[in-house]
Amino acid sequence: MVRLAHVLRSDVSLLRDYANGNTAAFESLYLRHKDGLFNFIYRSVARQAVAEEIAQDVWLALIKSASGYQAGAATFRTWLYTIARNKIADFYRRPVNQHHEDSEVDVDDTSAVAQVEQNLLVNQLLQALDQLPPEQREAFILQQEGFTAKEIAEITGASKEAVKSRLRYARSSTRAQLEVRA
Amino acid sequence: MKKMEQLYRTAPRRQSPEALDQRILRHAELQASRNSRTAEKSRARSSAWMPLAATAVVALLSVTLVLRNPGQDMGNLSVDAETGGISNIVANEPASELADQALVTGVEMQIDDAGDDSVSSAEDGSVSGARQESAELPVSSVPQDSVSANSALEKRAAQADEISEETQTITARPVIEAVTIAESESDTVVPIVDQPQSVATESTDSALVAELPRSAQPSGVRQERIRSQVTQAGQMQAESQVQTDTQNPLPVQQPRDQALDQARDQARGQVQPEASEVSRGGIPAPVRSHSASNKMATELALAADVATESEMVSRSTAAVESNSRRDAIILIGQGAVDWLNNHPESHYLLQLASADEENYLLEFADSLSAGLPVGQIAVVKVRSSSYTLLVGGFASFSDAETALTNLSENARRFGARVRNAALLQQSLR
Repeated sequence: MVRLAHVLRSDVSLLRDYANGNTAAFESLYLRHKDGLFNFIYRSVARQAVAEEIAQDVWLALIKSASGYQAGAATFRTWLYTIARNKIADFYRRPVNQHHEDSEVDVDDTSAVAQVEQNLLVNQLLQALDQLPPEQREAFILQQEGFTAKEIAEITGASKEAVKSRLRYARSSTRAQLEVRA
Repeated sequence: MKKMEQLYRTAPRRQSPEALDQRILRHAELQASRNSRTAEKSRARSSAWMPLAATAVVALLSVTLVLRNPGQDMGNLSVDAETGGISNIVANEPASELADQALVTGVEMQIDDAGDDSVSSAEDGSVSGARQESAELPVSSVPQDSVSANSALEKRAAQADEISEETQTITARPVIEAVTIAESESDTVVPIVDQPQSVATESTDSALVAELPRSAQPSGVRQERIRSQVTQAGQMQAESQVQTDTQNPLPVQQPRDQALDQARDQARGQVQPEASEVSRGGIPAPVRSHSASNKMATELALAADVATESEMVSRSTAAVESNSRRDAIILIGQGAVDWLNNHPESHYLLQLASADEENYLLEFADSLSAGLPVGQIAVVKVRSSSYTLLVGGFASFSDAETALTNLSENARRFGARVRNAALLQQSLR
């Protein structure tokens, strides 16, 4: 049960509480970020099992190094996604994982008939994203998760200009892919 | 451009699975409790430092003070004298009876005696007074009470001498009685079997006779006769002992273990023919001479031994069966690591559970031995502190997912999920 007081507190404050032994603080922190992080990971690897595994690794790494977090270096969210990004990069570093042979396609089974066309477009977009280079894809997904170019630069370790460039290329490539499919 | 982003946002968002949430939250709790234990330990260490240091300093100071004043007389406390004196005072004994103790106390406890006045009452005023005076006055001016106390001391010494003589007489009485019987029945064998064996030896006889009180010692001729009679009796007892030893084929003091071994063999029906004959014809003395209770105790011990052995045999058999069953199904340690590494990187496995303790997973795997899709289970240490229970492998993700769907509810209850073999192999390194 998440306490109401935790909802209003900052990520850093909750993490500090957890480092002092307050597990309820961690629960609040986890509930706040778990879905966004999982979606980012899933969109990056496009496989449920791998996404679960990477998400678990990310959270375990965070739990382990909770006491070592320094608030001044980066915001908590940036730090969390940096860990996730590194795990995803590790995943793609292995040759066997460099191809999305069995990427899962998102189909909402409960959607109405009127949304079928929309779903088709969404799937086309996701497939187009899968075809992007990893750097461009992660920049695009992170932007959709609400990060600014500066924050994306912090997470990926690239310069702000490089991030802007990646975003630009990602959009143009995706658009071209969608036009071809259409 | 904006249209594309809007389209992306309409895509269904993947949510973190509940099983994953539970695992992570549980791990967070465990880590928090581990951290708190570590913090408590470090706090305990820091809190114990001050009292220990203080104790060490006080002990050092005490030793230094004692070593720096070696010539100082700390006084000697005669506890016997003090407590004896007080208890006798309470018993209202006359001062003359106490004087010896009071005198000793007064001489040795010169420093502490001044404080004793507060203890003494009106009735024992003379006693304490005598003690004080005897402590302060020279020997020539010791009062009459002290003189009488010295005489009482001598009287007590004389009484002690008498008592010791009586004790010697009592100790020597069996010997004297035996000698008297031997004297009256000079041609018959003296029945000295019940006497201690040491009495029946010549050297002991002479010593005992010499120790007799003068009043009880016989005359010279009689003494020689007694000596010869006692010697003769001792020789006869020695001969009878030799005869007994000859009749018994086994040593008299047979070890208990040997007897138990024989009894155990007998109980199992594995006794050799010669041993059986020996048991029937000439049963070893200790076993035969055991009383009923001893026999029962032996039998009980034998039964307990046999039962324990059979229990151990059955246990070890069960353990072997269990181990063979476990080895056939569950791989652990290096075998499990090799098994995982042998999977192609594109394959998938089912992770049934993960835990910090390997035993939990083994117990869980034991309970799942039937009804799993693949016959081989492995418990692999995937990180520095966590183990995972794996089943597999499957060539494609869809196969693995199908197998996961077909798992029983019991097997899925700890958040079973599909895992990539390459990632698992990576987590081993």
